[in-house]
Amino acid sequence: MKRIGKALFLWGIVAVLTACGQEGAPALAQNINIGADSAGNTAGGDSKEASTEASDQEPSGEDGVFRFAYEGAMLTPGEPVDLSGLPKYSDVAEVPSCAFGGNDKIYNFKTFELTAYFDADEERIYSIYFIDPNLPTTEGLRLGDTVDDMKSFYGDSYETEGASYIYTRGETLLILITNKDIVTSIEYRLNK
Amino acid sequence: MKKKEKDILSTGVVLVVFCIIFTLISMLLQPKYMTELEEGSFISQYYREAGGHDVIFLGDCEVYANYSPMELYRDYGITAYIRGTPQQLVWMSYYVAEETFRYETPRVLVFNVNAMRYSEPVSEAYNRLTIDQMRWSGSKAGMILASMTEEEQFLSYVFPILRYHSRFDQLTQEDFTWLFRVRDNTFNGFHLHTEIIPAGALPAERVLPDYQFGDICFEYLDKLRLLCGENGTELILVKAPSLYPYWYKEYDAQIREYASEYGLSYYNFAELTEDIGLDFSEDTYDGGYHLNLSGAVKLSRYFGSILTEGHGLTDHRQDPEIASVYNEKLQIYDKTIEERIREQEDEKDR
Amino acid sequence: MINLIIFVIGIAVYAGYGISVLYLLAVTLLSYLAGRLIPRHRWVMWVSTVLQVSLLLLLRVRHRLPYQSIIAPVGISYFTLQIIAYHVDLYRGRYEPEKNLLRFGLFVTWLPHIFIGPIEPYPRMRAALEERHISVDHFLKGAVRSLWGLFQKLLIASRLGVIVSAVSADPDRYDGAFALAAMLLYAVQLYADFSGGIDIVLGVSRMLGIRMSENFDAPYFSQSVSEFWRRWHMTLGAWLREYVYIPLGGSRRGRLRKFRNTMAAFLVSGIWHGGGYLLWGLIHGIFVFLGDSFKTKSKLLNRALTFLLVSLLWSFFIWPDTADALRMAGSVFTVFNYNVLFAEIGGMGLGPGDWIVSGAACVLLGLYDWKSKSLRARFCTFSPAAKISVICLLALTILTFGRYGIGFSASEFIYSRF
Repeated sequence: MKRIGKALFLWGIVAVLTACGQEGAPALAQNINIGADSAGNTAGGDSKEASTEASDQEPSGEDGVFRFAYEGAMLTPGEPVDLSGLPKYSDVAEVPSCAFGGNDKIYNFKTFELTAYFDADEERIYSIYFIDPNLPTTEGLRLGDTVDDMKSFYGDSYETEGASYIYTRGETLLILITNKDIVTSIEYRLNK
Repeated sequence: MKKKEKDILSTGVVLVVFCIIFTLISMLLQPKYMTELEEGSFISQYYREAGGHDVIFLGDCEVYANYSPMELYRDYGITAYIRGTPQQLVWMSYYVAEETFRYETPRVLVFNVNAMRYSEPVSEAYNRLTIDQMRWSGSKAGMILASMTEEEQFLSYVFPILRYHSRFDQLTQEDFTWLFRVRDNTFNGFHLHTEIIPAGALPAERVLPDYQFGDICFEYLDKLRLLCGENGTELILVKAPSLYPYWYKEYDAQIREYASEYGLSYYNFAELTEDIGLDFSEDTYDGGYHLNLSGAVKLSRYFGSILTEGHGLTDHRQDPEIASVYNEKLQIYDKTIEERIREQEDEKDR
Repeated sequence: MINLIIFVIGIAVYAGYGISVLYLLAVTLLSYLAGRLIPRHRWVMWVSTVLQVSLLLLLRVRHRLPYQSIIAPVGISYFTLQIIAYHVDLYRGRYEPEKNLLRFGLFVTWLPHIFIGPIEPYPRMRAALEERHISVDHFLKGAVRSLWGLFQKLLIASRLGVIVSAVSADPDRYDGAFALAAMLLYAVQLYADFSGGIDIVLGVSRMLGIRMSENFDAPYFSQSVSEFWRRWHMTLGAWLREYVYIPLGGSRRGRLRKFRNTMAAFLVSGIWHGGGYLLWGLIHGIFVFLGDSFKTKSKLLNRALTFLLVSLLWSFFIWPDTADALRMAGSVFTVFNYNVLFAEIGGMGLGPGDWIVSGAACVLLGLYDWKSKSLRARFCTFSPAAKISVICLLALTILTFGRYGIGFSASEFIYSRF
């Protein structure tokens, strides 16, 4: 009787835990998929990001990051480089990376430069640097606009560093350099 | 022997053995900088050649890649050494100069001003490439204290095992081969490159929020200037002819102003590439960041004439003692160049 | 004089943690004064105990209190229990109150043990302070003990913690086999970290001539959960027995009362560990009450099952959210992703060298636990040179294979434009 009691007790505990563990069962299939992709990297994370289509994304700020809209493509610092939606770049330079190992690649699209870094073997956007004064940001700011214009687009929640105004959204930055209250540099950058 | 004396003696032996093993393990775990990251050994190669140089170069890769002391001697009889190291910052240059003056007093000290753009340590990894193999002295201690990034600790420089212990599972053949040996892979500090990678696309010139050099940079430049003055050495400021990163006109203006204020010579070779005869389709080994041998020869010839005519340096080619040493060096230098070129051609044919 | 120096140094070090040192000093002084009053004004014990228990409970239940930085000093869980024990003993008339403020201050604030224990009863601490005797022999023994503790922390705990952290950070992804691996590794990590810390405390105290109570006795060699609690965090167990279990009646007056008293003690234990560990404490209480009921004839099997059960229950510490902890513990029985575990574990932050070092260190730890008494006795017979050799060997091993500092990563050495 004692033995049956002990056995029932133990099985009871296992049953309770199994019931608790059932909530985790749907994760099994996902785990197998992750395991099939690769060993020990961000495969799961990547698939989550890749599954988000650009068209589902808000231009800027609605989901907490800066995005640069350019001819239908959406460029976000930190996200994988996808050149298919962009016009052909005129030049590409490889420069030693300041923040990461290896070399950065800088794609020149004539109106802006896109700097990409390598995360493991994947190219990701580090920064977008404006060259053409006629090129607007997603919200409409251009090189040569005033600081007041800047504030009307982006508000007052910025940090200053010398002549720089730095807006932060999530892991992304919008860095605006001014000279005598005129915007002389616009750069979207990954906060790293 | 009494028990107590025996205990003391045996304890002493144990401690000595411990110190030896500790030292050996530390040496084994430290990167050797002989094949991988060989630039880390540049600082220590000087000690085997210390003394008898009329010219000492200080600075980062813009000095050890762009100037060839062998060419300076060959064409002008100038004895020179390049005490350049990777990402050598201004305060590092000062301490290297301070240390150098303990070994010799050059006629001229050439300082490449590129580092003036950096007013903070760049990274611990770069610090280590300059500091690790430097001999211990007050200068080294000063350099460490001035250079340490936030996460670093002074003790990790005193006891490198505290920093490099995690290399225990990354040891390679190099760590054992070069445990007790060293090899010189520069020619009086010149890092030889014969490859050609023509300059290609470069990034657009970035607007900066602030072009002013940091106070700390001027502070150490002042110290360097005064140190040279105390030792009767002329300080010459140079900017190497690299295409990138950009040497902004605002940077140039500050150096010109400084040079003018203190009566120093300043040569911005980035503006004189035509006069030097540089052709970035063949005179660079990495797309315009540094010169290769061909470029270094041209720059050294150009600068050599400035040093001789403008700064009165002596031609030592007729000095038998110096000539015998340098002629031997030149033989090895020329032989190495021949071998490298031959290897490259063989590689191309394959 | 030495006591004063040790006290001042301890307070100075504690002050490095912030303004809460003032609270510590205030509590020490007030507890001393309360202790002097208790023999004649016994109600003072109740006031003091209620106040201290209330504060501890509040800290456990609410994670953010006003003036938290002052009234929640590091180590409050430990010195509060010590002070409560002292006051209750005085209430019971077990000994006279301590008249020497400095000695009382050291009892409360003895630096090596304030952060991690052991929870030392006052008479023992007093005797240790009175019998304090610094000698070369004690110093060497203490040094070895401290280094052994550091060995456990830096070679085992800090490495295994990498995997445990990775698994616990993503419960949606890492369940089933990952959860089981985390629980087993955490069991070892926690032991190495806690026991290692205690070894450092005992070692440093010994170097200063103070002998403190042991807190662990090879707990993973236990054959039942009740035995486990006789070997794990022994001073806490002793405190719970003395000040909760026995005052409630202990095991007298029938099984029901014994059950109630056991559960009460483990309820207190759960709360003491943190508000979210109630269930953990209660489950342990049930198994302790059941005693040796589930023991088989095989010692090895008993030890393995006890280890597995205890590891499973550490899930409440790995996943602080109780729902997650239960889910992860349950997933061990429902999700069998062992192939994924073996494929991914190599990339979760530990290289082959780390696994080898931690594996070898765990084997050494196991051997030490198995034979600790004879090993310590043997060590006592070593000559000073031999003792120093052991110290040097441990130091070299820790310096070379320990996981500490920034850590060298070849990729950090950017071969780049200099």
